[in-house]
Amino acid sequence: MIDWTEELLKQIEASSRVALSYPGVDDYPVVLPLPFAFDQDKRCFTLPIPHPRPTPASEERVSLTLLYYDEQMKGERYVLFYGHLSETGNEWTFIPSHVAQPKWRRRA
Amino acid sequence: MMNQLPDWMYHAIEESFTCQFASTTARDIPVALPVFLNHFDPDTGTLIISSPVAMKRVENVRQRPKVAILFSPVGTGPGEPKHVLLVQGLAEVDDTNLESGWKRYFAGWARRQPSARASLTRMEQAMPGYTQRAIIRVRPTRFLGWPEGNFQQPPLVLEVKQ
Repeated sequence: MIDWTEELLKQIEASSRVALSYPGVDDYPVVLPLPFAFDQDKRCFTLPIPHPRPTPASEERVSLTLLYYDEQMKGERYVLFYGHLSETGNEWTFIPSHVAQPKWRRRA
Repeated sequence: MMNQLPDWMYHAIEESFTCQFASTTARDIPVALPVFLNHFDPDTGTLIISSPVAMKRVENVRQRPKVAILFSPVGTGPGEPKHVLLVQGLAEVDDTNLESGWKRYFAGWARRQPSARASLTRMEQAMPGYTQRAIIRVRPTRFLGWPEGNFQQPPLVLEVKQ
């Protein structure tokens, strides 16, 4: 369960991009930086599917890292979601099920 | 030694601010988190980061050494490369000298984040163990590149002979 706090929603709004991670065919991770849209009502992310269409080895073993540059901290910050990925036309829909946030503000 | 990469791939690595290091969790889910690259050897292709030894990332790498590192624009400046590069490889953890082994590669981190040198003490206070760092070396097996970050074209794929 995710506690969709106002702070979390603000972090999503502040994020400019995401990194979508899933296992590739040979078990090496695949990470793609993609633009995204967040549906406030359905609480899900939509992402354009690259061409040619990649084939994640699993729709369950997926994570989404929201990334944003923090000018004050001079560093990149993140929010990590675990969830489920599905395809709709030319878009992926990612429905988060868990969220993890860093224990300290600046990551190195 | 490995075959020479296109210039723009070196540029994407060397001019990166942060990169996303993906390891695989105990539940077999790849997770990418931002890190600062510490060192890149253009002859061997080896990429080096450091990580607090208590972080799950270190144990993930020990147990599941197939990793990936993503270099892509962060939005920190006009000189930042627009190219996207994903490096997949086999990683190993070097935890023989947690106190200072990572410091020999620190210059590469500090070049990307000039405030890092001054903030180490503060970070250690905020998170005890922050400066007890393992070195993670990644030996690339494959480079996948999207020039100009164009995901409507297939990536340029360069396999590395092992």
